[in-house]
Amino acid sequence: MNELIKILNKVKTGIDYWTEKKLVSGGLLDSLDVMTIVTEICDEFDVDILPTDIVPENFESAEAMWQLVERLQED
Amino acid sequence: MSYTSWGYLLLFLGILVCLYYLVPLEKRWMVLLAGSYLFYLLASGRLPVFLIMTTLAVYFGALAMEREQKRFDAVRKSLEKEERRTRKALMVRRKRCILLVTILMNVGFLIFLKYYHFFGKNINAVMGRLNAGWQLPALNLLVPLGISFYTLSAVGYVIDVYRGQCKAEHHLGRLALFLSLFTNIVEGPISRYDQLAGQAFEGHRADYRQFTFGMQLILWGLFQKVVIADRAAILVSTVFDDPASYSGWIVVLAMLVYTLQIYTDFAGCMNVVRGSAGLFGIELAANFERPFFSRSIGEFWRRWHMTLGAWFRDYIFYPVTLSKINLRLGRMAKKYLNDHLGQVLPTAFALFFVWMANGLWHGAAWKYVVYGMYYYVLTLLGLFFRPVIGRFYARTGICRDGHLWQLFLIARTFILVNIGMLLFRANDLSAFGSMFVSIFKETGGNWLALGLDIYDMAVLAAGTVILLIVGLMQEKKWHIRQKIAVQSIPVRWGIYIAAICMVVIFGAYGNGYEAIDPVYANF
Amino acid sequence: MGKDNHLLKRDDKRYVRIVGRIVAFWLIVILILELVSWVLMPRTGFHSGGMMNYRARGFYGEAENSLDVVAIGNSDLSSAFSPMDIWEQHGISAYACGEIKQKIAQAVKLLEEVLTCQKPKVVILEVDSLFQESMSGQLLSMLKTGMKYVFPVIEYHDRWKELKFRDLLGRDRKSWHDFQKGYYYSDEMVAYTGPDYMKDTGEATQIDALAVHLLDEFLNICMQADIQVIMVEMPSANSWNMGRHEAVAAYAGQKGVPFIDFNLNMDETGFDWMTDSRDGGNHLNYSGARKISVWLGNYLQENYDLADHRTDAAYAEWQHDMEQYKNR
Repeated sequence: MNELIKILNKVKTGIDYWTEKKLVSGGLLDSLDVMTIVTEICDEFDVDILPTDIVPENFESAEAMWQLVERLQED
Repeated sequence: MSYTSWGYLLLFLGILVCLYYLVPLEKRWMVLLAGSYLFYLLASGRLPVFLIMTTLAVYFGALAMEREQKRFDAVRKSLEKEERRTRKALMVRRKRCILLVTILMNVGFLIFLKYYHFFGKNINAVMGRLNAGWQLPALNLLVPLGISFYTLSAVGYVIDVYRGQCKAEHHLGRLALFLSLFTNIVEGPISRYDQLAGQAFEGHRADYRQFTFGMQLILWGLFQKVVIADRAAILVSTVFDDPASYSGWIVVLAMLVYTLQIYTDFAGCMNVVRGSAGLFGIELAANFERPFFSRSIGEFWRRWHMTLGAWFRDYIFYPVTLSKINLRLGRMAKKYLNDHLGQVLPTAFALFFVWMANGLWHGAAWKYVVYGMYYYVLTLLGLFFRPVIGRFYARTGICRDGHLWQLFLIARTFILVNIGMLLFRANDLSAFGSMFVSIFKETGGNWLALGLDIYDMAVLAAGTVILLIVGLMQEKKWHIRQKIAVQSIPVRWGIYIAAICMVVIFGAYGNGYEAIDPVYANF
Repeated sequence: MGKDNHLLKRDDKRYVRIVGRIVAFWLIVILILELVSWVLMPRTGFHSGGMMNYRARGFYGEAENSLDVVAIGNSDLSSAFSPMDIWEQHGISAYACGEIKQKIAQAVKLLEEVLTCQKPKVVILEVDSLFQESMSGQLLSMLKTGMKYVFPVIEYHDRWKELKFRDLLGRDRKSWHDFQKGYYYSDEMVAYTGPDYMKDTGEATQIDALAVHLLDEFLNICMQADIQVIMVEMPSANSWNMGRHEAVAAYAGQKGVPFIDFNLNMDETGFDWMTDSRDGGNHLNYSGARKISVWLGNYLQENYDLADHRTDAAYAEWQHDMEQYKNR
C-alpha cells in the first residue's frame, strides 16, 4: 500500500491520498492522470489492467486502487 | 430533410409521434425502426445499404464471439488447469480474431468510402514525384449519411461484447434500431449500446412531463440554430469565401462568429434531436456541457462533443495505453531517461493515435490532420511541462482556484479554441496561414458589410448574451426546465410563447437566407 | 368496485385537464402569431413596403372588376406577357401576375387572391411551374404556402427591421399602381444558341399526382366562377422539352382546355432565340414579349368575346398608363 501511495505522489503531488475518497468525482484526478497511474501500477505490481477496469469507482481512493491491484494479483 | 425544417418538425415528427402512441406497447419499437429507415431515405435520398451491412456484420460478429465463449464455458470444468489455460488462450485468440475482422470490415467501409479520395490524391502526388507511371483511379464515391457516427457506435458495440461489458444481442431488430435511430444518425450523439439499445427498444407510455420537456428542448435548439447559427453563417461565409479581402479585426470577428456558429449549430441540433427523442420517452446522452467555460484544453474536449471524446477515450486511448508495446515504452523511458518522462511517454504515445483519429474523423483533408495535431501538441505541452507549471504556482503563489485566475484560464482556453476553429473553417491550410497572419495586419473590411446589417448583428449579440446567461445558470446546476415548470401558468406560458415568437420572427429563414446545412451533417 | 370508480374519475379529470391545457396553449400561440403577423405585414403594395412578389400583386392597384384577362405564372410569364401591348392593339384589359420561382400551389392561392377583387373572363395559366419540383417538393411547398397564408409572419418576419410606428396606426395608404400591368421590361439581349430542346427524344414525362390535383383545383375554381382557362408555356429553353409538352398537352386535351406552347409556334409568332431573350434562354426581353403578346392579343380577340375598352370612360386611366408606357 505504501508503494502505491508513493506512486500516486509521483504522478500528482499536493493531494492527501491517505484520506481523499473522491479523487475522480471530485476532479482531483483527470483521465490522463488515471492512465499515468495505471501504467505505473502495471509496471510496479506486474498486473494486467483491462480497459473495463478503468471506471471511476476503482480510482476514487487509494484503497479502491489497492483493492483493484490485489484482485488482479489473485488471477 | 434537416432537423430544423418544416417537413421534419411538422410532418415527420408529428406523424411518427402519433403513430408511436397509437400502436400497442410491444410494437412501438417497430414504428421507430421503420421511421428511422424512412428518415434515412428522406434525408439522404438513398437507401441505407451500408448501414444495413454494418448492422448485419456487427450482429453476426457479436454472436460468433458469444458462441466461442459458450463453447469454452461448456468444457471448462472438465479440464485440467494446464489444459484449461491453453483452451482459454485459444478462445481468446479466436474471439480477438472475430473482433478484428468485424472492426476492420466496418472501419474499412468508412475509410474506403470517406477517405479513398484523400489518400488516393496524396498517393498519386507521391507517385507523380517518383515518376512511377501508375496512378490510383479516381472513383466517384458517395459517402453514406451518418457513416462516421454509426460506424463508431457499431464498433463500440462489438468491443463492448468482446470485453464482456454487454451481452451479444440476439434480437436483430433491437440492434438495428440502436444503429439507425433517426435522432442519432445525422449528427450523433454517439451512443453506447447499454445506454441506448434497451430504452429505444422498450415501448414507452405517454408521459406528459417528458413530452413537454422534449418540446421545450426542441424549442431551445431551434432558437440556437435558426436564430443564431443560421444568421452567423452568413457573415462567416462572406469572410471565409474570400479571405484575401479581409484582415485585422474583421478576421478576428469572423473567427469569433464562426465559433458561435459551429457551437449553436451543433448544440442546437443536438437539443432538437434530444428533445425529439424525449417525445418518445428516450433519453439521449448530452454532447455539450458549456464548453466555453473550460479552463484547459483537456477540459474543453471533455465538454465539447462529449460522446466523441468518450468514444476515443474508451476505445482508443485506454487500449493503446494498456498495450504491451506502450507499457514497454514507458519502462524503457524510465530506465534510460527519467521518471517524469517514463510516466508521460506512454500517455503521449497513446494520445497521438487519439488526436490523429479525432482530426481525420472530422474530414478527409490535411487541415483536419493539422487540427488534430494542434490539439495534440497543446495537450502534450500541458503534460510535459506539468512539473514546471507546478513550480510556477508554488513560486508565484497564485491561487489556482481564485476567480481572477480562473477567468484568465477561461480566456486563454477560449483563444486557443478559436484558433483551432479558424483552422477548422478555413478553406485549406494555406488559407488558414494567410488568415492567421492577416489578423496582425491593419483592419481591412467593414463589419457591417459582411452580409449582416446592424439589426442582424444586434440579434447575434443579444443571442450570445442569452446563451451566456443560460450557460451560467447551468454551471450553477440549475435545472432550467424544472425551474420554469414550477412557475405559475402565465409566467410559464409567457416564456414559451416568447420563445416561439423569437424563433418565428428573428429566425434566419425565408427569402434572403438560404437553407443552411448543419455543419456536422457531412460526416 | 367503488374505489376503482373513484380512481378512474381522478385519472379522467387529470386527462381532461391536460388536454384542455394543451388546446388552450396552442390557441393562444395561434392568436399571438396572428397578431404578430398583422403587425409585420406590409402596409402598401409598393416594393418599399416590403411585400413579397409585389409585382404579381399589382392588380390590387387596379379598379375593382376591371380586368378581363389575368395571366398567372412564374417569372417566365412576367417577362413574356405585356398587357399594354395587347391594350394598344385591342383595348383588352389584361394583367400579368408572375411570381418569381412560383410553385403550382402558390399559383392556386394567387388565383384566389385575384378573385377577391377581380372578375376576369379569361385566365391564362403558365404551366412552367408544374415541373419545378419533385412530388415531395410539391408536398412541402403546399405545406409552406398554406402556412404562409395562415401565418403571414412566416413570409414577412424579417420586416421587424423596418417597422415604423405609422405602420401600426393602420392608415390606409394608396395601393401601388403599375402602368406596365405586371410586365417586367428588359431590353438586354443575350441570345440562346444551344441545341434544339424541343427535339422529340421519346422520353415521356408525367405531371406528378400532387401537381395534377392542384391543377384540377385551379380549373375547378375557374369553372365555378365562369372563367375560361388557357394554358400556355412561354418560350423557355432551360426548363422545357418535348416530354413535358406531351404531358401537358395530354392533360389539357383531357380537360378540354386550349394549350398554346410558344416553343412550337415560332413561325407564327416570329419569335427568334437570337434576339428575343435577355439571359440566354430563360427569360424574354421586350422584343420577344412584344411578339408573344401581339400574337396572344390576336388570339384572344378572335376566340373570345372580350370588349374593347379604349373608348370606355371607366378605363380612362388605362389611356394614361398607355402614355406612360409609350414614354418609358
